[in-house]
Amino acid sequence: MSIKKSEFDKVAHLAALEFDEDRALEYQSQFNKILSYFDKLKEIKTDNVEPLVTPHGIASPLRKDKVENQIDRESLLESAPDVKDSLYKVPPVVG
Amino acid sequence: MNLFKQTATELVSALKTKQTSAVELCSSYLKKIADLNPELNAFISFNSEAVLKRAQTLDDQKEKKGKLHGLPIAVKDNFCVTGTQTTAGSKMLEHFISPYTATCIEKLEREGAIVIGKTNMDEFAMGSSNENSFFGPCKNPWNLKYVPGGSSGGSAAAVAAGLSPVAIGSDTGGSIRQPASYCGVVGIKPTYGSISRYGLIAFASSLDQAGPIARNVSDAALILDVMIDRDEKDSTSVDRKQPSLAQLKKAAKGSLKIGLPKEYFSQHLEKTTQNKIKELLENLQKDGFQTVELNLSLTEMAIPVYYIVASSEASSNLSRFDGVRYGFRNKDQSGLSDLSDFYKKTRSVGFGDEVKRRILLGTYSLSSGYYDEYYIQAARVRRLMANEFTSAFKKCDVILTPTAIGAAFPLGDQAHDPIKMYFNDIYTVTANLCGLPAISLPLGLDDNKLPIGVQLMAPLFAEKAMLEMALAIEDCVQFKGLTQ
Repeated sequence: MSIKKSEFDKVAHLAALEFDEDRALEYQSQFNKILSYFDKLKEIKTDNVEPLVTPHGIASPLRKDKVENQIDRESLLESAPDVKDSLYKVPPVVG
Repeated sequence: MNLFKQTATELVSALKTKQTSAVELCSSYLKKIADLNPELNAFISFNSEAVLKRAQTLDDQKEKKGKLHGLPIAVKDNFCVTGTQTTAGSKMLEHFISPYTATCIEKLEREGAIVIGKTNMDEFAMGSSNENSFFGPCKNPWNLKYVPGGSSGGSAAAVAAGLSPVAIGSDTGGSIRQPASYCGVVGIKPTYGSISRYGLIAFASSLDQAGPIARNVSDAALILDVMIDRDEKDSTSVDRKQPSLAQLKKAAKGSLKIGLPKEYFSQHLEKTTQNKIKELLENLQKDGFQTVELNLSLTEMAIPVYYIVASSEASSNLSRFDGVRYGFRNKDQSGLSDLSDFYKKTRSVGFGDEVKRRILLGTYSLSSGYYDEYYIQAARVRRLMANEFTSAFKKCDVILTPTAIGAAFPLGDQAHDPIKMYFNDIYTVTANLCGLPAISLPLGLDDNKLPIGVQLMAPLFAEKAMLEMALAIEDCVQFKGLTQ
């Protein structure tokens, strides 16, 4: 399997990443090498096999739905790149 | 008393009997870190003042009840610890100060452990050499021209070089065990769900597990015993009574059956590692341990399955880094036409090459049209692999394999070949995919005087048997670490 430049650009967009043309070509070529190596997975017959998503298969015990151990708003906002009036500040993006 | 030669177990007892104090111990380690870290780069940050303040508080307490009272512990920089810079080795979190502490670290602190510093790592734990750190590579203390392994390279190097008696790492595909092997120390990845992942910066949520790195099996078990617990803040953590791991006896002669999967001893394995394992097995057989050959025919598929599953989960987990709520934001905000442009500007500069590569790979594997072909097919083969292990453990108690294909490689050697780099994880990723507990412990040195390791895997939650077998191997190998 190999992907075309247009497909690579689409994946980059979905991943919210951007590359200049040279880097995009380099990534695309590495990407194709990795995908062709991964294609050997297709040799394995997996009809009627249930996908394994979490390894131990033990049902998660539920806890009571009550609020606890809250981290206060101020210490969370301290980590934000830009804050105004206790709110996250972002540049205008609507044209 | 030479504090640096003492094991963690000995130090805990020396602290209890007041042969040393937390302040004396921490000052000695902090001095050694200040001396050696500029060259080794094992720590990203350490705050001497805060460490000594906590040590003094612990010394002042009349009752020293904690199991680790006064013991310094180095912590990988993807665990949140209140008030510390927590970077995950990334520019994205270069200035992030955590407002809370990870549950497993909190448990160690509750027993009196002192976080002495935060250790270097591959960015977001993605790498096998520690070369993907935004803060520069950590070096192997056995030879500074070589990598310490990854992604918990800083934690393994710190313990090997005697900058901390023990350290905490995280293991998604071998990130505790492979650096432990390269640095000649012990590293344990417990059963998935044993230790809370709350406060561990997520890479791949169905694979990530925290675990200890130490100079010997007993020290690692002492730390592991404190870390294991159900946590309501991690829905995948398991509520299960675990036998105590703090006081273990080595496996009695001939008491356990050792499985040897032939696919793990294939042509990829370097000769010295192969010979050392052969030698070890002969000695274990002399001690009455039976061995049985196993077939794990899907081993060859482990790398593709792992990289598809891990990258898919990473692409989802790392979507939270958007430059809005925490972490880095690109100051250049020119020419934004929509919200997507805003995210792209920050993420493209904030993430390093390998992280971007894996986000792309994961996004592709999960995208419409390829989801069944890649992610679902990988998850199905993952089920078949887990079934193979279940059958294998009907024939043996533990599985013994090499930890890595050989010893550490030189810095820069594999940095430009992602597939070659991914291949380093061939023997370790299966334990993560199937949730199994696994340990790496030193086996000896190769011709370049670099350590090589041996790995044990056990059935889910069979840590006790695995560690008892590890003690028997440790006794048989008599490895001398750098600090001895």
